[in-house]
Amino acid sequence: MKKIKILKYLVDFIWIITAPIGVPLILLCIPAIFFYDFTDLNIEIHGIELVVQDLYSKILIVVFLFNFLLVIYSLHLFRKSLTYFLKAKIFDTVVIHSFGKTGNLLLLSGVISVILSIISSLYFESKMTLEFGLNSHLTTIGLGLFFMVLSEVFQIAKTAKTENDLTI
Amino acid sequence: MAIIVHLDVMLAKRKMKSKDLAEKIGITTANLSILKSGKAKAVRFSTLAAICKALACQPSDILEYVND
Repeated sequence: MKKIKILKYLVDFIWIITAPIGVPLILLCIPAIFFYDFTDLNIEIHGIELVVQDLYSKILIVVFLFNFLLVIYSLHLFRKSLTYFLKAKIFDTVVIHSFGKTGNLLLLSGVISVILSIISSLYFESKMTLEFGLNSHLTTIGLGLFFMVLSEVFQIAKTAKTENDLTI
Repeated sequence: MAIIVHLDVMLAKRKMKSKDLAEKIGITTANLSILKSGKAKAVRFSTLAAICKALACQPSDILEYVND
């Protein structure tokens, strides 16, 4: 339980510094990008400098921001699961669904970021780069798959627990 | 379920209350109720032996297989 508490504090800390500031800022930025001129603003995402110059680049930035929202939402779901763990409700349906959803969102986010990274590198730097090794996109995809597997494992464990509880 | 539990019939035959049987075999009345209602997924041999001893019967008097 002590380790779960430490993890919960850590996730809560990340949540507090991202959600109350990050989410409203992103929600304000999405419409603002289309109505204000951000040409002088230097935005760097995944090591690629994005210049807000035309509609296409604006759409790319909006998708980047939307992708960040997905990660924040998955963090919220993970927090929810940890809250259930602290209440000793380990094999609850909510936990299983949260893990499944977190996995799906992280996988989607990883795939989106890979595609965006390739497109933005082609569009803004006019070059095609192939990255080998462990990068942030692969880590996100891996983490997503891990959560999906965890959800299935918890579902199996829930069934086993129910059967054990109903063994007289 | 293919296995039908006739515990209530045996209890009636022996004129014993569920509470008394639960106390005798050392399980909770809630668990005995699960067993009686057929919601149980499995029965331990030790529990079955204790029930048979308390009701002076055979496992076949309590459990019956019915083809679905």
